[in-house]
Amino acid sequence: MKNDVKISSIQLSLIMIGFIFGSSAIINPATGAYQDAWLAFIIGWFGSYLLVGIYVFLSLLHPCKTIVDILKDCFGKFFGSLFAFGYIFYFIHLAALVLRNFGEYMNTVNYPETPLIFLLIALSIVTAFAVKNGLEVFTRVNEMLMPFVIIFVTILFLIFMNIYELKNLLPFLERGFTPVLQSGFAVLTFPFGETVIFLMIFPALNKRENLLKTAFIATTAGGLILLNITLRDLMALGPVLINKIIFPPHTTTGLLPHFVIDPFIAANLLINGGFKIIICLYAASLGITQLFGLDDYKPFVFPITAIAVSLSYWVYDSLPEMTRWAAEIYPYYAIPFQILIPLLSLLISIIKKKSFSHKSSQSS
Amino acid sequence: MAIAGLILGFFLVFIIDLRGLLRTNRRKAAFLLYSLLLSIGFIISLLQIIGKQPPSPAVYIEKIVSVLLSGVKQ
Repeated sequence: MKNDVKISSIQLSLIMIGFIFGSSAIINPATGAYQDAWLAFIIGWFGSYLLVGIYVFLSLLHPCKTIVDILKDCFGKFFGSLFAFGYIFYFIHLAALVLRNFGEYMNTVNYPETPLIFLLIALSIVTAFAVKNGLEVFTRVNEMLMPFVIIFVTILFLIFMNIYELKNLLPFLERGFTPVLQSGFAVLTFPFGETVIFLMIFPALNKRENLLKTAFIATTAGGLILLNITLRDLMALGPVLINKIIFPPHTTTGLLPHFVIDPFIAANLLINGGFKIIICLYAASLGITQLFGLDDYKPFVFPITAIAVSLSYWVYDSLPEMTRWAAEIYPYYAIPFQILIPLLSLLISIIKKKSFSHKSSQSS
Repeated sequence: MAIAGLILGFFLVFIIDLRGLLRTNRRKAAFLLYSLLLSIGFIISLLQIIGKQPPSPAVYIEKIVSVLLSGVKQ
């Protein structure tokens, strides 16, 4: 592979935080638990350490290999390639979903007269050129922009201090524990489980020994930012409203009539949603290149972006359809990609490694 | 008009990528894969423009998930 780029721990950590934040800047998967959304979020967040741990150990057991090569190692050439093809579709689909989230938000909030397809194409052109510039370039840009995102989130949390109602968090577990667990699972799959995509990026880390620490720091920071947003929207809007509206952060900004703070939300979405799409397109392009034994992913970025754009426009009929699918179907659709295949790959890798060390000790 | 724009857009994409494609290690395979991917994007877009797109993959995924979930519940 020509692609021998390296990124630092800080760059990986910041790009992971941006990815986790991503479209969660506008959509909160924990809202189904009403006033216990914060608890559902914490359950999903804590569960994600287990998933991220699986991804990290899988990457450490296969140094310098992406998920495409790992799958071929674990399941053989045929089934490995089949699963890898599934992952490439999943990455393109994920790019399409985030692109659609972004387009719908902009179309609903900022540019109601602009055709959705125009917004999708505009963002996709920018993201495609970013991917073409390479991993090092877009991680560096992310490194510069992430501090602004953290500042925006902090400002947005503090600015609503006067209107927070702690009673919006009560009564505790009114609807029982089942909705909390369901929403917690939704949080686990979106956004935390989506970090499985970093199995395409982990090999680029310059100091492999820092991988676990870096991934866990990113999960913690990303989780804290999202917990901040969940609590802000829940305490400001209340459990019923947060569950009824599609973009809670946008409605929250409307609570301060004398300040125009909606651009903060749009900027967060533009930065993190943009980077999430960039990572998805990068992973899909690199994956398809590796699957077919080619040495450069860059010529494939535009065709994959074209598929992602057409898929994002095709995938849902309407905005309510998009939110329903994301809440009801996506968590189950993501299970094989985020949990089953990585877990199975890890088990196979451990068994293979043990049998290999056993054989080598016998022969010596 | 929209179809002409689509053809022009995809042609421009091909022109931009041509140099990169010529530099790849396995040129034939790269061209084949590239053409396949670009054709998929083009066909989906074209079908959407003329309003004859098939049901989206989300519909099939939903059906598969529903079947699996009902199997688990039983």
